[in-house]
Amino acid sequence: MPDIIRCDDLRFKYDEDRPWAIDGVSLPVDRGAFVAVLGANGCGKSTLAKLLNAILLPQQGTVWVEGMTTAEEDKIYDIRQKVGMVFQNPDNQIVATVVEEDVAFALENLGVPPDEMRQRIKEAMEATDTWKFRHRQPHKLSGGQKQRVAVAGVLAMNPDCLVLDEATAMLDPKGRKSIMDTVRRLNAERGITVVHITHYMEEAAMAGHVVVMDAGKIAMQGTPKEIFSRVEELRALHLDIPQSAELCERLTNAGVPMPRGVITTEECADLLAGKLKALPKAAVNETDTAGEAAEEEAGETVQTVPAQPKGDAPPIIKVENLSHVYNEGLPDSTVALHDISFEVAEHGFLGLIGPTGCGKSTLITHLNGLLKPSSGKIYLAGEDIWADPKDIRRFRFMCGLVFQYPEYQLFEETVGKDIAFGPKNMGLSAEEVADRVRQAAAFCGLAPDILNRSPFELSGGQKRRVAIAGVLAMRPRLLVLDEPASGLDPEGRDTILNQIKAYHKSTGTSVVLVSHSMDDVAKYADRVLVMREGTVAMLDEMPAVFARAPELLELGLSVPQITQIFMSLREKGIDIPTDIYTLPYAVETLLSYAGGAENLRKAGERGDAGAS
Amino acid sequence: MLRDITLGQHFPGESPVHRLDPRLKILLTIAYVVVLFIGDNVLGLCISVAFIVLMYFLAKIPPKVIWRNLKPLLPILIFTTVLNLFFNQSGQVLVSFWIVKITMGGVFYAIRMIVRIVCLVVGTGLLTYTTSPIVLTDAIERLLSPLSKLGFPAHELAMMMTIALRMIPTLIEETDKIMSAQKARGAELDTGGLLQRVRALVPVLIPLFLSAFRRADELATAMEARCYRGGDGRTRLRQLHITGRDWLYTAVCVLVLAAIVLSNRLMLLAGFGV
Repeated sequence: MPDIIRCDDLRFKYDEDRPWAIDGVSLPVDRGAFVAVLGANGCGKSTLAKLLNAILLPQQGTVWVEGMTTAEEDKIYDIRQKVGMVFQNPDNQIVATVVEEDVAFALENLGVPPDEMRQRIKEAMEATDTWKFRHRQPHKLSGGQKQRVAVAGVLAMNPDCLVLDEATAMLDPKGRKSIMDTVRRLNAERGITVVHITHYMEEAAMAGHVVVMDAGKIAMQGTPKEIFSRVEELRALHLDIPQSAELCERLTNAGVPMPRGVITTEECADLLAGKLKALPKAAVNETDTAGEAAEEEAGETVQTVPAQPKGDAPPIIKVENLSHVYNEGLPDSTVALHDISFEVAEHGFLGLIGPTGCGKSTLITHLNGLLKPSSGKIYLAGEDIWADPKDIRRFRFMCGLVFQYPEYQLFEETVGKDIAFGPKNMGLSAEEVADRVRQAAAFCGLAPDILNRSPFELSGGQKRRVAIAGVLAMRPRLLVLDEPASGLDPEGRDTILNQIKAYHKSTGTSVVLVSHSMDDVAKYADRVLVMREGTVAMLDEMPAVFARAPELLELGLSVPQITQIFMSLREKGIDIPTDIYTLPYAVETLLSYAGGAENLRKAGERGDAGAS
Repeated sequence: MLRDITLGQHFPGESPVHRLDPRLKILLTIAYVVVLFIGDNVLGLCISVAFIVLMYFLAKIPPKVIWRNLKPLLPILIFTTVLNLFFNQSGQVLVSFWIVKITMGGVFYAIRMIVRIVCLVVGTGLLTYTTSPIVLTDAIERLLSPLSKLGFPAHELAMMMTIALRMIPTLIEETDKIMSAQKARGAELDTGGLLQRVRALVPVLIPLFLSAFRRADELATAMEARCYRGGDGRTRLRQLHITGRDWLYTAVCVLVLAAIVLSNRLMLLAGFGV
């Protein structure tokens, strides 16, 4: 049998009165294949994963695993051993208090003798690069490390197939990369079949076969090239499109025909380099820097440097030589922040980025006085917030802080009451509170009828918006958000970030947006603060930071694919600026470099002719 | 803040006390506690104290730790002392004014009680200081496993302990985060009277419980996916072996404990009635 798993017309629902979560899915998985399952939240992809190893059983249809069906009760542990599963939250799948013992867990369950167990644990841990911390405690590891331990724990069972159920969704770019590298290696070297469920388009592009799900059905499937060239359909499903494909589409529309199905950075850079190198020397327009070529395209933001607001208004927040030492004076004291200074202008939008553990979260918890600096000063709207420690609560309302995964803070019976928690603590009148709740809910796109429902029946994206509304209702003058889009699918991410941007524009509230994705920051912020190991690595306008993109990559931050394409062009010896982070500007830069679309099109023909 | 709380203080080391088989260590600790209350005389108590002091010395546990362990006990110690002084009226009267009468018997009894309580706490403390929680859990499971034939859930109990040990740091971190988040919305958690503070904890406790349930649910699924099906047919990575040296140490300890028990009779023979 060539296929290791075969799903025949599966149907599954969680409850009698709910719609089918899986609605007629038939899917063969070839032995040794790398299959990515892509889809928005709630499309049924995680349900499908749980059907594959008999965690859930389908109401209709059959799941075949190596000739067994998941309906056979006596085969259940054989199937679970063949199809190992890694889940989303690394904290919620590690059982033991020592890494090595956790990897042993499955083997202990299977009754493997201790000597063989040691051997298999070692192998699995070496394959996932976790052997070096086998004696550590799981909660002391980073997210990526924990998730690799989870992979090792499954790998020790010697499974034929690995199912990753959004295993990268909660990780930072570095952790995500380490998991993807590990899984790809296992697939290539050991021939382990991989079913990778994700909503990251970049990860799906690495697979051999992509399955796109929508509303419990398979909407598309094929090679990544086939799938990602169907740009329109992907857009309709609210999925991300590789920027390479988008750039090609835009160039084609601008009069430079480009092939379809270009999805990787290298491919796109190679294509463009071929064209640009074929340009006649005279045509090349060498001097081109950010901002010069910027023009407003209809309805879209080209990258522009916003004029700094002038006037005497003090910056909304000013941080002066801030340092923070945890456990000061104790032997285990650690310097979390060192001599940080920056300010955010009134109505400004600052992006704060840095790798995990660089001190971003410590920094923002200083801004509203939850943490007290070891040294240095913080001024909110011109006032030193620690001038009178008894008065600190006032600044908590002035600087609204939205933590990561804020939906886990919801506690009230109704959405309305939860949003009202902040304003009520401010001691406002009932009418004022009600008014603020309505307005904050509207800003977050929450319909009025939701206000009377329990927050716990809402979807993940909605819950998060309720939590953000709870902070907006305090009408802070500075809004600080820690990774507001983490764990959301592309649609949820865009909705939330767009609402924040709209709120910023319409109310003039200053915003600090914390992220480790330059993609998000690039789209929304006008200045960026890059942190590294508790210090300020860069603090500048957006284009100036992007001009130093290689340094960002070194820090373990992700930069947009488009920036990487231009970096690669430059490496290929083309003298083109690399401070590119939006598509319109990328097209413009390319065209102006070539001295017009016409030149580039002709050069393309020449380049193609030369190549063939 | 909460993050600084250390749980199940364990001081790793290589001393004989550390290396003793955890099952024997647990049994000896229990025996010590029992003997403390049998050995009811000066000699017995002296041996008990000397024994535990020697063990701490061997295990190289800093005396500071003992003091930290005893500090929360001070109110209880003072309370029992006062009780004993006032209500045990036997023997020679030492001090007497108004209605207060302190006697020799009272003083002796009070001292005996203090020594016992201190030895009890310090002695059981030694077990956790010198044995890591995982090993301890393992040992408990194995000691109780004969009872599982009678339907006692030995494996389940051990699994619960393991998961609790695993999850406590995660939940503490989570509590910290939720508290920060609610404070950012103006919740006052550190001020006000007792009732106010309890009420202010609601916005922290509800999300915390929900999160714990969600985690439990996900963990159960993940355990099932790794073929967990209870204790039957399970093997263990960590094997416990009792060596000759373990038996030797145990024998020495048993002799000391026997001496404490016998001290009652010895003291009687020597004519010192209790």
